[in-house]
Amino acid sequence: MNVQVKAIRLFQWSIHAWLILFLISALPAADVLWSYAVSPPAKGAFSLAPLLGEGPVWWVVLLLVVGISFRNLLRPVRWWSAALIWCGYVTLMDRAWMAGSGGQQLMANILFWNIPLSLLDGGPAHRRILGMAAFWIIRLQLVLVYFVTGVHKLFGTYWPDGTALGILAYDPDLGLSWLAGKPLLAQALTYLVLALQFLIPVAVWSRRTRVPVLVAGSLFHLATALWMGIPEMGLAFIACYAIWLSDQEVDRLTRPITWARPPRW
Amino acid sequence: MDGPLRTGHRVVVIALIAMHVSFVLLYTLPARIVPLQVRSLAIAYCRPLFHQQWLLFAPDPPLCSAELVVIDLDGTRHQLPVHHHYLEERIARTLAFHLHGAAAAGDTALPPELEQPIRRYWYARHDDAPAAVALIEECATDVAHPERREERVTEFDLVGP
Repeated sequence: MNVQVKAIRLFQWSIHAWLILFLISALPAADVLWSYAVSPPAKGAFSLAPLLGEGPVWWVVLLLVVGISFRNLLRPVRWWSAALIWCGYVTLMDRAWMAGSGGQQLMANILFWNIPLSLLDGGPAHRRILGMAAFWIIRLQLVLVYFVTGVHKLFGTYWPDGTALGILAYDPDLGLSWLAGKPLLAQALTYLVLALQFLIPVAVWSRRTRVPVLVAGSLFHLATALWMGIPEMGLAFIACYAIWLSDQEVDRLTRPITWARPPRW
Repeated sequence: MDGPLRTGHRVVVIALIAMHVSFVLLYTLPARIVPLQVRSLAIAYCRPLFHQQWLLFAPDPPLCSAELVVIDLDGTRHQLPVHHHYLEERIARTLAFHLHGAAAAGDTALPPELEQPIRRYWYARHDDAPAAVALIEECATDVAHPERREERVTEFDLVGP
């Protein structure tokens, strides 16, 4: 039940970088997302959205989340900073739920577990118990997604018969028109996606297959970011992949960018 | 991180992980393979804090693409979203998805829970009043030939102020 200290630091750095990038990328639509929200009120249990009303107060929430995320990029994550970010993030997400995605949902869950994960820096036993549980829950949450979506697809018709991506190729809302008229390629890619979704939850457990399968997963998510209109979702998954790395793999990955390492790595 | 956990603490960690992951699995797996009573427990546990849904074009990809158009008082048609920002496009897609449900149910007046967000989105980008909304869908009628698409247009009156 070992935890990987450097992997946790890289993971926390990645999810805060994702948060900053996502919120900055949302700024051109900030009025319809938050300050004059198009989405009807949502009922998230721990969201402050219903209390905040409309107007510039949303910019305060936005600045708070971005500001604390910058703090967490540069300094060790404390439980209170993780809790503030999670609360601010779910408030923003609930307010703009019509623009939501699985990636945003994934990050809401990950940011919640990042609170106990930040207790893992020593101290009394209960802190280490919670931190250790959070570490494994985040790891399992990530691979659970692939397994669950794979099972859902097996219950359909067009994924098992290989025609799913061939159908999506003709959807003008997506960017898959390059697949149109290539049924064999579309069928091969449909089965490849399905295989990857069942392979990732298995292959991450072995040291030999972990990095190759995470690279394949990253390519898959970059493709969905590029062609499926869900850029923040693809990048959210890639940001979370760091939690599955070993400390040695983190060293190998970050050696070329030592200037960018936070001081405690 | 001061050395390995004691055995008793390790048992607590494993129990916490097993409980959480089991509930999330029961909450997210297809409803037809999860017994109803167990699923109710999982919903009670997950919905407030750990809500998530992992369909992602499953069980099947949609056979129709949908475009949302607002018709102003002059009869001019304006496509939503107004700005091609990825999150505004997603809002328009979500609205179109819900309108698809209304169209399938045979509604011709816009349901109030959809009219309000469409009006708010419209007024955030325009000064003049909208008169009607149209859902334009292109649907594959034969999955063996997904390139053959049939256009379906459903117009909805705006009934609110």
